Amino acid sequence: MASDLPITKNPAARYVPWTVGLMMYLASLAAFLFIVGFHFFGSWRHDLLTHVTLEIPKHSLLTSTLSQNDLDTLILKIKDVVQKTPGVTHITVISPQMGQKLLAPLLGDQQIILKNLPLPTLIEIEKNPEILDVSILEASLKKIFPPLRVINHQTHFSKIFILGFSLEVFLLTLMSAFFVTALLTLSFATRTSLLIHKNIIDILSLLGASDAIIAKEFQSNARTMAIRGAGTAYILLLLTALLGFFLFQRHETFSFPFFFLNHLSWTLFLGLLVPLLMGFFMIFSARLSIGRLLKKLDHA
Amino acid sequence: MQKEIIQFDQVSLDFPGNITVFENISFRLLEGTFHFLTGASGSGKSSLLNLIHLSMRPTKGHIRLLGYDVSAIKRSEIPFFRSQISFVFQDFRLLDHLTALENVVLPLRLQGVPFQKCRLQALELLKWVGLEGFYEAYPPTLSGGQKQRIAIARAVITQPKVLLADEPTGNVDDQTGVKLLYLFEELNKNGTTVLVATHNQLLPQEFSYPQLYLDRHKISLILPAEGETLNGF
Repeated sequence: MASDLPITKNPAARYVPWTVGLMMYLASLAAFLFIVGFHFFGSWRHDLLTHVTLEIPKHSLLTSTLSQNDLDTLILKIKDVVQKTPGVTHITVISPQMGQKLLAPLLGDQQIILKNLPLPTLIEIEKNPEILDVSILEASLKKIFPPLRVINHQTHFSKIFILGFSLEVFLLTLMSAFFVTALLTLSFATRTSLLIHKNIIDILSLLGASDAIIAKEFQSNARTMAIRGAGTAYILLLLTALLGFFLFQRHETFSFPFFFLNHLSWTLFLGLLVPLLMGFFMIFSARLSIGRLLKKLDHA
Repeated sequence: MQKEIIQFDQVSLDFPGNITVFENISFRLLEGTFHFLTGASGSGKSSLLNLIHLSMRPTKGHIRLLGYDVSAIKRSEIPFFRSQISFVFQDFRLLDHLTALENVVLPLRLQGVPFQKCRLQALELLKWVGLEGFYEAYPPTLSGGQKQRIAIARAVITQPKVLLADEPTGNVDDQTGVKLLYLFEELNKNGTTVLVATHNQLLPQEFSYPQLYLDRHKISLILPAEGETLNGF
């Protein structure tokens, strides 16, 4: 006699493990996307705050007449001014040739287009945002070469921050919604099961069963449902990971699989712990529901 | 010397809507005795059994069971008393999804006894009540008398100190009813206190045991030999 209560035969609870599993899966995905978003937005935030790009346009009245030597001299002058500016930590010159190399993977074999692209010379400056005043630097550089464009990425920061923050709040809300829905589903199944089996509970109680024994039966059923749900979630997560890996492997330009590898601990944490954690909360919530409902039924 | 096993002291029971069931009733049952509980329909026989089985609480007065005052008993303490005081219900209250054997072992299983340990005892009890060969039968396939026998076997498997039976012969024919009473008598000879509620006046005549008679919210004792009635005993 595995169980004295036929609670697994509750038709209302038949699909609960799969529903709960789907919720756990979606919650894990939302949590994963939250972590990915947090990582990317964190990285963008850092880049936007700590980078200034100087652009020497290819086609301007001044640069179109410059020889390569003149351009090199100009770059040296600019570098000299930049290096002497307080708050600058690193300078990288990206020549049009280097720019072409960076764009090559995106354009594939279209070398003719690439060669004819009017790529500017770029000077990437890493800065300490608290020390460097970009407007002062810009004024100094304009004196040397008026067509020079100073692109301060910090100006985009507020827009990116709002977008990132909104997305993260949305993902957290989504994750919480899935979590709460899974809890409510299991709680609903447990409560209906208790009500459906009220007659049996009454008989067991009249035969001397304590609330603890009756609750144990239902808790064990809730635990089984949570474990089955977690199992379903794990299978779905594994399939998604395999599908993601397969899809991204076909596009060498994407580094998404490396994100998985670089953040293996996070991926494992979310993949393994979120369903487990949800399962634990569900069992605990079922226990509370059972306790409350048995007191309400009060077959004493 | 026999101890008092059930004691009602000025117990009253009212239902919502000012319906009085009992009014200050008092009586005592000694350990190892056999009593019938009689009275017209609606006189409160089932309610009195329910009070003893702790399925109801008195409006007033004190009830002592097995030497303990249970008038204000905690919910968590009820299972202890129910393991000592068994109940045979008129409508059997068997679990239809369990076999006869599984139904009989249920009270012991609820006390944590493994199935294999109580199986033999249950088989013996089913044999004792005349259900040899019906061990694996499910209640819906059995007659009323057979179901009642399973209910009796289930009630006695814990070797209770008190056996309460609410109209145990109500759903069976007279001949089966008498046979069931012989089972109760046998249990009583082994020391179990038995209280059988019945509206069938033939049973107290056939079995010479005292009656607790309920009438107009009061209880009285009718002794078998002389038909003498004692009020307020």
